[in-house]
Amino acid sequence: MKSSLFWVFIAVVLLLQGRIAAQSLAFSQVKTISQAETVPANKVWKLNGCFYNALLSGIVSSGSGSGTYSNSDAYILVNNQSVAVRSSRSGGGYYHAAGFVWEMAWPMWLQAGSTLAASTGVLSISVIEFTIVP
Amino acid sequence: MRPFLLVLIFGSLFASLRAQGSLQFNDVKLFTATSNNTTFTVPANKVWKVETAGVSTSSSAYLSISINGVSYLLMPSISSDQGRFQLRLPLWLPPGTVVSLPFSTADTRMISVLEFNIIP
Repeated sequence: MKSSLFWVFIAVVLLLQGRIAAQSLAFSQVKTISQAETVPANKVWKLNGCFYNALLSGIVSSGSGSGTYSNSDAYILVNNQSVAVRSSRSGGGYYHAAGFVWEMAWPMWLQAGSTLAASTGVLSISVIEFTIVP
Repeated sequence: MRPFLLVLIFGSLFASLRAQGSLQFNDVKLFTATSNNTTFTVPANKVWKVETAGVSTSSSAYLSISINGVSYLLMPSISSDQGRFQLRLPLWLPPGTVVSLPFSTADTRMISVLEFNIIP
């Protein structure tokens, strides 16, 4: 009786301190993704950045009217949905020779079951895989 | 009974040392919005770390994130947002915070979130 009370007490202490319900991430491997792959069960992926396979197109700074602009974008596919990871935009005329290059903030995290692939302008994606430790 | 008392004493001591509070990893989430009305709320006893936000096409779009109804720019539009301040990620959000992803076009928007439990 004393022994079972002791273990019940230990379980209560651990539960109160969040020890039993705790989750953490343990490093599994580094991957480079180009073709579509799925995040395995009990894993999460941390996307750290892309290797691009194309230069940004030239900056447009002349012309007139509102139709004179240039875009050059790079994409990854997350769950078969395009996500822009880099964009160059510039324009002349109406846009007063404006231009900028934007890059998405990293990292992006994907849970188990998500799919990932490189798309337009992206050669591969740098990924760290973690195991969810219950 | 002596071990029971010892565990009680050390357990209490350990609990008091942890009394300053901490964050414990809970989950990885990817929220997708396909309309201006889509909102996401940080649950009670959780905090969110918004690591990044993305948009399905960037050709003419802007990208912004709304926190409790106040909109912050993440990616400018060439036509109207030049020179505007862009918010730097990550963002830490407390329980009850309401997040949405305002649209300029019909693009799909998403945010990547790490969710933590608040351990008192």
